[in-house]
Amino acid sequence: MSGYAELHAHSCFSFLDGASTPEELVAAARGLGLDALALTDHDNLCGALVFAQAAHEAGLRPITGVEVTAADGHGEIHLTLLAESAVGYANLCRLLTRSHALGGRTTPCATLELVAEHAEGLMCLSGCPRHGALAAAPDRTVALQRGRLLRDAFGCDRLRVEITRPFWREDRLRVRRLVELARDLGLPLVATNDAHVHHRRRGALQDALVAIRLGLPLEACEPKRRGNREHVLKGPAEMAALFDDLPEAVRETLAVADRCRFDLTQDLGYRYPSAGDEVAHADLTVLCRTQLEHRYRGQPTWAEAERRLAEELDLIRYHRLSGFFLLHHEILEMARGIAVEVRGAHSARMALPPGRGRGSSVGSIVCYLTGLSHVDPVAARLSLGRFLNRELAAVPDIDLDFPRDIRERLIVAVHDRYGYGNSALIGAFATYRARGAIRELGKVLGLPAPDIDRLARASDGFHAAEVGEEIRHLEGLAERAGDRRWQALAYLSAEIAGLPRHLSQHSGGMIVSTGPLDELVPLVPAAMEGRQLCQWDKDSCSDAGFLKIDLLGLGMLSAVEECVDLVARARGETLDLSRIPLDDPGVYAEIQDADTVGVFQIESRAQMQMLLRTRPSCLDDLTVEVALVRPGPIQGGAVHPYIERRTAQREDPDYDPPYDHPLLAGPLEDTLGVIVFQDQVLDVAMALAGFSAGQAEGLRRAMSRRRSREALASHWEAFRDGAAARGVPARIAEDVFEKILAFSAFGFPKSHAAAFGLLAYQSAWLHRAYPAEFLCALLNAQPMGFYPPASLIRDAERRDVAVRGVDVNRSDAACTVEDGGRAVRVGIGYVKGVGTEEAEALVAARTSGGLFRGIGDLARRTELATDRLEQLVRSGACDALGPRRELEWRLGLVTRPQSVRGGRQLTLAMELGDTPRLGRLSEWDELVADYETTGLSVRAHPLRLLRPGLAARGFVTVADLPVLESGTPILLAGLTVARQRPGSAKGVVFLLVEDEHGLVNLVLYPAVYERHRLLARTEPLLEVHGTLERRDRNLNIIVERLLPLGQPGRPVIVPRQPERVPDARELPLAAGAEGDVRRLRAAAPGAHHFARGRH
Amino acid sequence: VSSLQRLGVARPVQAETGAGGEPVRVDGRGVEAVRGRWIVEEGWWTDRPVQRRYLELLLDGGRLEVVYEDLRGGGWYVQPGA
Repeated sequence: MSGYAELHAHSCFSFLDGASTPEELVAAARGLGLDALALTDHDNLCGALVFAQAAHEAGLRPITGVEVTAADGHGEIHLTLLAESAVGYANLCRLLTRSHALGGRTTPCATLELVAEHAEGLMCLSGCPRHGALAAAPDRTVALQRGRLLRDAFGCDRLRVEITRPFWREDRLRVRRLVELARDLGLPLVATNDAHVHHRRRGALQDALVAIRLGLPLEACEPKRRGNREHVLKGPAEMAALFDDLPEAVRETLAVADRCRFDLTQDLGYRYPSAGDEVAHADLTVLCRTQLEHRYRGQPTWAEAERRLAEELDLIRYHRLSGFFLLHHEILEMARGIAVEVRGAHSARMALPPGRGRGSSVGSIVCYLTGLSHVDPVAARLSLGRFLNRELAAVPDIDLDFPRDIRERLIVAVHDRYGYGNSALIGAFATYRARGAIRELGKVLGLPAPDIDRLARASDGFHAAEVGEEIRHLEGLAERAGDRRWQALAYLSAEIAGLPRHLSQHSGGMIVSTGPLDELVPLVPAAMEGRQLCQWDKDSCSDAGFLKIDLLGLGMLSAVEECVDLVARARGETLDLSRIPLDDPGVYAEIQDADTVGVFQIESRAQMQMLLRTRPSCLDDLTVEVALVRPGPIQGGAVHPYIERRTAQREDPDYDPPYDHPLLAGPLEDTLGVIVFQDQVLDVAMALAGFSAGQAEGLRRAMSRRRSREALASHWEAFRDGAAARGVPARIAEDVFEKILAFSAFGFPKSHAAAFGLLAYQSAWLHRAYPAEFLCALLNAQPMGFYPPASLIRDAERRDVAVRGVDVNRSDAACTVEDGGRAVRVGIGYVKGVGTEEAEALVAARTSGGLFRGIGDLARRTELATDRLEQLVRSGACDALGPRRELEWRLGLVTRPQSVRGGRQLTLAMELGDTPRLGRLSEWDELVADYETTGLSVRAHPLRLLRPGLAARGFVTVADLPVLESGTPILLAGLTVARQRPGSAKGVVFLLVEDEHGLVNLVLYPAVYERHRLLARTEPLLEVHGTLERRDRNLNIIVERLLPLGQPGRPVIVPRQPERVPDARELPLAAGAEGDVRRLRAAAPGAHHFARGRH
Repeated sequence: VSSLQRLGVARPVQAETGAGGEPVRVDGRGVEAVRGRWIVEEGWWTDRPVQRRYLELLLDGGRLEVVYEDLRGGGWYVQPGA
């Protein structure tokens, strides 16, 4: 039987036109017995490296290619291009870079001339049935014209006429025309199947993806879809039968495949900047030695530091990485320059470094000495671990965190410094999760929009594979779950889960190259002007061996910087965060009491519960704390033993923790015998099984990328044998390996935890010492952290900070500190619908012309549109100018300056007539308006206003809980602040709710959660029935029943002010208590919603 | 010709199939050649999904006829006017 190579196949990286992953295509091709497979996604190489690697692993020959879009005045043309050689690959990358520059970021389009210019080293097939240069030519003349142009560029030996039989009615005519054209042009025919799926069962998803791409319901896009499932990857026998009249076209696939010898996994030819450059190494050595003298001379750690530096420099030279380190140093120096500009030369922020390291690099003394990390690795006893070792398999990662403002400028500066041809941002692929899948698939299936909306909101947010389950549980949908369209939604959601939707930008990774980067990977303009990104994500960049620089924006760094600045301005105190005491007992007392709302990393519900039990008392403890509440340690079973041993140690300072084996006493000493840090996985493998550093790193990589079970199994064999050789019983070796696997890679390296632990302490210190400035900085750095602004404000109020509402005569655009650090004023920027520029213009008008004297004055002196002014009035920002109702009424009468040609026509001040007597808003209505307009309120907590009605019905408050016995039945009302369903909690769901006194954690066991899914996921105001549970110092409510607060028949009395004047105009707003609660429900800020993976 | 046929509504036919599963006789008339083959799989998300194998046949006597096999419900049909 003759063979067949598929030379035209699309994966999901064709984005909404291809429904299988490259890995799935590879596995199917292998199963079908194809001789080779080309991946030819539309206008990109996003999946090319993943594909090439998967093919190698499966023993299939990969061909790197693309289906490029071009135009020639007669319409859109598609051409299938395959890389024969490294020259051809470079041309492919350059061509795609140009076609994006020409056609646009999301609509790349080359010209045939451009394709011709890049022909060298490429094989060209004439394209698909619907858009192919020949197949879809409007007439024979144009077809011949195009054919000749391409033949001139590629020559007869590198151009083929592509024929397909997708089982469309027009196949017969099209193939006949193409056979004639091939004869007339003197070109061979080649058969392809233009595959879009690896298996027929993906055909439905392919249809749906096309509908999503076109923005049409499935019914309305039939002509644009493929009409059947014949676009599946087909094997040699099926293709031979399909082209039994043209066997030479099938044979030709093998000849073409044989010419395309370029191997992306081998032939990329990338070099680091200054790799192996002796001058670079000498420069790095001098830089480090100078800093070593400066930081360690005369210290007790001098000898150790000197030894470590020599060892590291040796490794760096061995791996030819000196240039790599110098480059990072250079970027940090650029950041320093930018910081001076951004912060201002005299800012209090000047004492702060422009950025700081995170990740495993923090364990390196070279990083410390070159300013890339701010943790002394010798003093903190950080191991070099996986960052650098003799057997290094890939370039190490150096992650740098910057405040957001500095990072934005730095990315542009790096482009400028290294050139647009040599630097780019790393790409990322936005993938389908439940919510997006439901919305987009629901739309093309033509399902009712309100149902889709409800289902999307109730979904877990993450798992598209479970949508069917969701439909069966949702009230009103369950009975329709058997309908064909709903069934289709469930099926398609599971199929679409995890597929990439489009190329976007990685959070901060950049790649830099000495040679032109656009010969290595296509570059496309980023959404933000002045930036470009490459078509590979971080894994592909890493596999290609690219030098990556991670410039990450960290909200807390921005907040801490601003806080330091605010303290200086409000109190005239200059803080140097690097010199604050790291053992302040007051700070640790708050941390131990979990009084940490707003503090970096240790503010979450899970972290708070941990703090109450582990009671951290030093920076090392915080380092553990930050790392402990992560999926790795949780799944690795480290948490409970750690807590127990920590308690035992507190009670008996001589306590010795148990170890699985005496050999583990060394690596696990600091963490009481359990694996908390990622580098401990390596240390354990080395200590127990005698792994080399490179072997251990291999194990870590195998775990982190979820490689095949076989890869892990081979590591297990080495581990078992190594442990046996050291006399470790098989049972213990197996047990420890299990823990390592469970830990997987979902943990922090110790160095990273140390860097984050320090920032956690610094933020806790600021939180305690300068609560007003800290709150103000957090509010200005939103969105960030675990809590909505409303909860941050209530925490500050508990710390005696007065928080004041938006006021057009007092607020700046951003939030500000008032009264020398005793109060915070919410900024105008918080009013929804009023843009930053508008807010700034308002402040400028006030600064130049004095306070606004009335709503008319405000309207005349600002450029604000009437709806913006109304929004300001509704938010209470104009309360100082008069009662809201009255202002709204007056706003309707105010004469505004009119824009006229050549300038603004002034208006005469006009006296307004008498305002009719309008009633004031009730306290409740003002509160609801606050939430509606700003997402927060500085007035009373909603529960305080509802309390009188609740107290009568026997509701307790959060303040009552500490004095109640464990097991007491509880009836409580609360506002939902956060929802979590951690993957490690076996289906248990946690809700954090808040009343006017504080926060309490609700625990919903699976049976209860199943009964109340929709409420638990979407309801902001809850009536909770349950039992108090007291565990150590933790209070939880074990929920038995949930109700929405203020349901019909269970009224909640909204208090009325007795002096209120009844007024007809007010009636629609005060349509009764139930209506009021409903309004707040709609306006309440969305609680943070974390599904699996977040803790 | 019935009015339904004038409206393009398919009519069931007796088809005798050969080794490849393709008709060799349709309503008693021999099939001389198969001129075209296409497949339609549509409406899978609705209550009336369509899955058909179409053939354009040259029948004895030179007449062209489009027939399809209903791959869901079974049976062969003539599609008039196709």
